[in-house]
Amino acid sequence: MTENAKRHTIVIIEPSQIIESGICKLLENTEFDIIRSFTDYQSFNKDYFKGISPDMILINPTLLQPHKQFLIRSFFPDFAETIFVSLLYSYVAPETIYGFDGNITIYDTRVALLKKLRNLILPGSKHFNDKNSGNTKLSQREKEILIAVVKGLTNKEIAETQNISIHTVISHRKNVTRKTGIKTISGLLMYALFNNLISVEDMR
Amino acid sequence: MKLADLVLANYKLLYVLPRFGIQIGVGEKTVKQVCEEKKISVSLFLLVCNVYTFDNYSIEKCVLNGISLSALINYLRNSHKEYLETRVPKVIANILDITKSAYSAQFEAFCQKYKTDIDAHFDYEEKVLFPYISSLLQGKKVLEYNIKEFQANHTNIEESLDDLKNILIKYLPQVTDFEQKRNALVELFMLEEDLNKHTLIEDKILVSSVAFIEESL
Ligand SMILES: [Fe+2]
Ligand SMILES: [Fe+2]
Repeated sequence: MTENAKRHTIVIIEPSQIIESGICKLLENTEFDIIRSFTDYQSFNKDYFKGISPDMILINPTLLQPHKQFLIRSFFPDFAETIFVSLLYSYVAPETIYGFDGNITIYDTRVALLKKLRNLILPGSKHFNDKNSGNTKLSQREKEILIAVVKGLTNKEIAETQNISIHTVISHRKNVTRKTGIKTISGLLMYALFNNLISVEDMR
Repeated sequence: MKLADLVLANYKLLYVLPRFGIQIGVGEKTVKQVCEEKKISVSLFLLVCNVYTFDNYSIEKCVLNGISLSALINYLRNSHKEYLETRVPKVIANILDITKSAYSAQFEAFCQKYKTDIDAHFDYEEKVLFPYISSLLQGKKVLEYNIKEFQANHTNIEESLDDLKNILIKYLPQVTDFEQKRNALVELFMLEEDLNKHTLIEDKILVSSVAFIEESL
């Protein structure tokens, strides 16, 4: 019964279409959803919407600058919560995959593959660490939009006063929520007060 | 299985038991014995206990067909009553206590809004959804309403509690009495978790069972 179980999102970054399709096929009808695939790091960086972190990124480590793969997380500063899995064609030196949370090889069977992925998402396999949580500082624009939101302006009104599109307003709002962890307007109001972005007098 | 074993395995069931009219202190009695004495459906009771205990507990279709919807509604009504009469006021009182020194008026407004939202949420379920289900159970088909409409509008009442946790943990000045702050937070976490399970029971068990009846009418 995968129907009721929690689902997990995966992004694949792999140049070979044969390999990429093979993984998609093996993960069909499981709790893993492959939400996007990219052929290289550059296109991922350019096209992937950073507001939503996938649960896992499967990446062929040879796509990253040689000798720097061990800094895997530094390539993905916005994805502190994501699990990184290296996708290997053959034996590689251990330092190449240092920093990855796990690895799979193209010789893994479906059973082995699922077992590895499931072990990685088990809550017990995660632990507290001192990795930095990405950028959580609000930009000036984000602050302005946050203030407008808690003052009760609609997205349309904010777009007009700030001279930007509604789409941009929405994407700034998503970033504010991602960085602060706060979703409701009443919550954002308290955030703004404690961070001196507005004062109680402003609210009258 | 003994009733005591359930609670020993998951103390959060201490909140679930009274909603079924069950008390602890029944010695070595089994779940089945206790349920039979209280005339409660064993399968419904265990289903709720399982949802509360195991994340990702998967509910089999065959189990759903065996449960009594009116008993489930009764459980949900009792839960609403408990939230509104005891737990929400308690959590709010705690919050107001620890926020006396910082933006107390704003926290009060926050809590007031939450109370209003949750009142409206439960009120809708009790005055629109549950009566609709009762009439379905009597074999009457109500044309103006169906479970999909409920599903689409079923709001998330835990979101603002989550924001509240976030704010209190990160920004509430350290001058506040730590012990009081901690107790307030622990109760807030427990309420949020309980409400999460409550919503899960409505979204998974109630909605699927009602959809099944709608199809068969
Ligand atoms: Fe409810
Ligand atoms: Fe509800």
